[in-house]
Amino acid sequence: MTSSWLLPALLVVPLLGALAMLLAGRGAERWATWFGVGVQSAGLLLTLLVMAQFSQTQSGSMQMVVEHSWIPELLVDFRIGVDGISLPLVVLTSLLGWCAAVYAVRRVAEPGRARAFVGLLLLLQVGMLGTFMALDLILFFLFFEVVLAPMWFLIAFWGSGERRRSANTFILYTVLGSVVMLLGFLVVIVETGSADMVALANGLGAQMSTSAQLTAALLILGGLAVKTPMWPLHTWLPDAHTAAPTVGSVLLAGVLLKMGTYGMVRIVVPTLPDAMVSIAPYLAAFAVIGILYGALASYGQDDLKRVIAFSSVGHMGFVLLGISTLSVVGINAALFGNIAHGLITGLLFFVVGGIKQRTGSTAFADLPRSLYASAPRLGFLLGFAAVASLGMPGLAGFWGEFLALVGAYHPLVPERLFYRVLLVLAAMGMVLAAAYFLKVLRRVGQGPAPETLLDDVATDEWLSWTPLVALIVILGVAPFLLLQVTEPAVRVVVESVAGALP
Amino acid sequence: MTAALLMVLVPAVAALLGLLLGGMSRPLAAAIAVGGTASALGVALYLALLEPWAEPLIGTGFGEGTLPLGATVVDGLASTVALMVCFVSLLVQIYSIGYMREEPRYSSYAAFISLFTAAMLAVVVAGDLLLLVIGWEVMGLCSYLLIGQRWEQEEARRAAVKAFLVTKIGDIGFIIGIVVLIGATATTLLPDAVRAAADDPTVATVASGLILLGVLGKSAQFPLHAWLPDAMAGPSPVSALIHAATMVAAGVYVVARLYPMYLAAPAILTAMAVIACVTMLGAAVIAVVQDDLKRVLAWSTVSQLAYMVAALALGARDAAIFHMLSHAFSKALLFLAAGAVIHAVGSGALRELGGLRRSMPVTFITMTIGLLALVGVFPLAGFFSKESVLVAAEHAAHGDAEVASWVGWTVLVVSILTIAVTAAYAQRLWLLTWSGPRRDSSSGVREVPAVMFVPLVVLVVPAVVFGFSALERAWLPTWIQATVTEPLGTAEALRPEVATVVLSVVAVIVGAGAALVFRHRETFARGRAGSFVAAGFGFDAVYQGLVVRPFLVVVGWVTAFDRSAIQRSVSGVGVGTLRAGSLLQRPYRGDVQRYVSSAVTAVVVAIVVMLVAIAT
Repeated sequence: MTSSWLLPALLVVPLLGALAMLLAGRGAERWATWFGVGVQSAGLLLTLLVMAQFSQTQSGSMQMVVEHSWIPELLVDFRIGVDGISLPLVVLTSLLGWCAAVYAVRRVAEPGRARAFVGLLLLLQVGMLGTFMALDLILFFLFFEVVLAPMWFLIAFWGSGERRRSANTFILYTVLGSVVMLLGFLVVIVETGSADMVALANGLGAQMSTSAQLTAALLILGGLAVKTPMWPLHTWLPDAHTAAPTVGSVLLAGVLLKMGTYGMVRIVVPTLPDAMVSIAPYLAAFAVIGILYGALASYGQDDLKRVIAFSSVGHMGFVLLGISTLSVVGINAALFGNIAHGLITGLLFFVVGGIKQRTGSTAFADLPRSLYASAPRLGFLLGFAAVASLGMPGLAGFWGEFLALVGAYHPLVPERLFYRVLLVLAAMGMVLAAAYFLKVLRRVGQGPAPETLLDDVATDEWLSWTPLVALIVILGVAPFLLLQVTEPAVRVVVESVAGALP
Repeated sequence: MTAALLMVLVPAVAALLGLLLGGMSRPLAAAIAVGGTASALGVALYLALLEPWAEPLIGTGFGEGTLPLGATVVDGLASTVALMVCFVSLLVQIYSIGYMREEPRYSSYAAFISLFTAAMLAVVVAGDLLLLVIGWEVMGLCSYLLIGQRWEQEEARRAAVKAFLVTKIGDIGFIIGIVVLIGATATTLLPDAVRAAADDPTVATVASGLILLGVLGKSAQFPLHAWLPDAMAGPSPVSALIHAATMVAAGVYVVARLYPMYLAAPAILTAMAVIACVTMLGAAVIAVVQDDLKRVLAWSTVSQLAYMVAALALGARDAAIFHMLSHAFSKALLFLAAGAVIHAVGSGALRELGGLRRSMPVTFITMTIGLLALVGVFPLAGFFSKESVLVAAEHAAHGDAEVASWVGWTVLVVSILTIAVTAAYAQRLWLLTWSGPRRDSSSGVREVPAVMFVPLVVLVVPAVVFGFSALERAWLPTWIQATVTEPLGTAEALRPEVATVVLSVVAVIVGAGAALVFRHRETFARGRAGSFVAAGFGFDAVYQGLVVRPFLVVVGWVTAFDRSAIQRSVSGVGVGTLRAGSLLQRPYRGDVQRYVSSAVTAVVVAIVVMLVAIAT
């Protein structure tokens, strides 16, 4: 059975949905959010079909590839497909998109305007899914850019606090990053005469001279590092999170950040192996600084959303550390960490959004104490997500970080001693993560019995959040479910690097 | 699914069900918790009866190839310890039904205890290092949750965080140690990794040293001991669980589990012996000047655990496990009895106790037996198990161990001294709680209900007779063999020797006598020195100065730095680049339209440049 329509359909469905919202009249305001749920459910269903069609034994090669010549004069093709590296992220995106749509049914942030809100979410979905499926550098860049505009609108119009400034900082940083990344792509395309990501990864890119590789790699990594975000390019993130509406924060942390690290594994590592081998130790150093810095800064914040934003800097540091080892274990760890962070931080932002909706704030100073008593189920979910995020073994958050450490013990690059020092520092970061999350729970969850009770978790919230809770537990006790999908594809990537080693 | 994995999963599932359904009714929550633990005990009995000491039961995990998880090994060591864990946990669950009668959050409490049991059992039967890590860390989480059970009280909140973080500091070492072990031996299977590490002295030393840090945290040894005395902020049954069946026992057990690796690292063994000596005597001295029933017992646990660590350091694993089991019975008994006293009187402060003999006869008799077992009075269990440690020290002193003979001598001398101090604090505790002017019934103090005192009576049995089990080689010493990693046949009977018996009897008499002599001097008013000792030799202040304050200072730096320096410089770079990139606009802060338009301009310019470049 051919399934070539599946991946394009996955893009077309939300795109048509977004167009429909654009054209719909004022009367659509009432059913817009339900329409969003319908479209995202269809997308999720399509994703499940993709999973069913996907051959796990051949997860190392691209599957369901669709190719169309587009602008041949400029070497630009429309080419999409999935393999073991991208499939989990496609699934994560569809799932989080669905959760966001369900959440939005009763909880469109002020000032309402459901049509526009849903339309932007669907457009965002197109960009995110496209980024993970693109097999052409220019196409990748286009999808990468498609994401920016809807997110800017979500923050600038549905946000709170200093939303305009935060949205502008966000767009400023990421557009700058994109431009730099595009220049890097340009170097690759000019040097090799191809924008085909598969061909580039399979040795075409490696034919470039080392200096050209270095130039391209620094440019592309620079762009992707803004998105990840890698220390010290993270400063847009806390502001964007604090201002963004709940679903904006969820998708920002859950999916958008992964586009950066995905790009590194998908493009930079296999296409520019010589450059990567020399850059890796520096990347590792930045990663570990990010882990420690994120944790320390997190402890110093006085706002729930900012705490989580800085915790993301730390967690993405572990993902970067995994990538920088260039080893099978390390890159597997990075991909696992991507998914785990998406689930856990997504849940955290949902719960914090729930707290904000009930109390009107996320600043510690304004929050009543003892959420455990005033809304026990919400308090439990906050505790659960925090414990998952601090890396409790048995929940999803642990494996990405632990395997990154294992990878750092045996990096593919020659600087072993350096990586072992980093290993110790990164492990200390795990303890620091515990410190700030326990501080949060003590400040927000526990305290003398409250005078007033808050509304506890509502049915639509349970519906939206339960899949995340379940997956955090399932991947925590059975990490191999995900690792066996990524592993063969990661081996292919690492083999391309191994050839570049002296 | 192996029976061993089933034993872990049953209480874990009970915890999940308890959280989901326990809120509906208290009896249901209690039934789930007790039922889950009782089932685990059933499986543990089944495993023990299979004679796993002769032939270890090895179960493979799930997910072959990519990070398999859930491999189990059950040998005599594992099955015997699992039996103790399930037995004590079950009694704690039953006792809690009575003790936590008024508790509004009973269902989550019982569920967390089930999870605690499951985590400890995971450590006990772990056949792969990852399952070991899961059990190890989940236990830390459960201790945090249960110590903080009464989080309305600031004391409980602080103690919970302290327990989690202090043990977590040790776990930096533990996690890195496991990473080194996996990295160096290229396997996650515990028996294979241990054997491979034991053949490589460098790996053995590094890995066992790092893992030891985690052990010091869990088993509350110097300098990571400070969380345990504060942990008494948790309800008494939780203390019984932490001090006997789970948590503190896990540290000692893990060393025993990885023992061939430790034997290949004599430097680490020596360090363990030194740490054990400092902890043993120091904690016992601190226990003498405590003013709270549970605090005395808590410091006593720290001290007694040091005996086990010392035995491990001297190559006497069987003695360490023997003492761990016998101490588990007596300490669980003591904490549950202390809980009964607190339940009846409403306070654990020693100055408010006394004269309770008549009103609480069952608790009185059982606690007295528990104290005698703790001190090590013949023929109770503590006598035999402590003697086995002393005999090991004596042998080591004569050069019969991996470590130097001075280590053996030191351990021997410190152990004897500690016995005297132990007798002193036990005697003092007993006098302050039970003797003194009799309270009449008008005080409202009466014996606790049967659901609480029956577990005490049940625990008396092993506290009295367990010691005899090691007298024959074919009994306990054979049952606790670690046949997974070592060949069978090295077991030896653990019998007292005349010289050490005489010394320890003299020590008990001196210590208890001193407490009797000074009984009337007890005023609870301490001078400077007394307060210093009572506060754990001021160790918390050291922690504050060396860890907490520097940490907060660095946090302050980083936070301030992030708010100012980086923000400005990176924003500056951004704005500067945009200015150069757009050329036409003069964007300034706050102007939305210009920001966006200049950003878009930048992208467009870049795209045009690129297309032109490709086309040419």
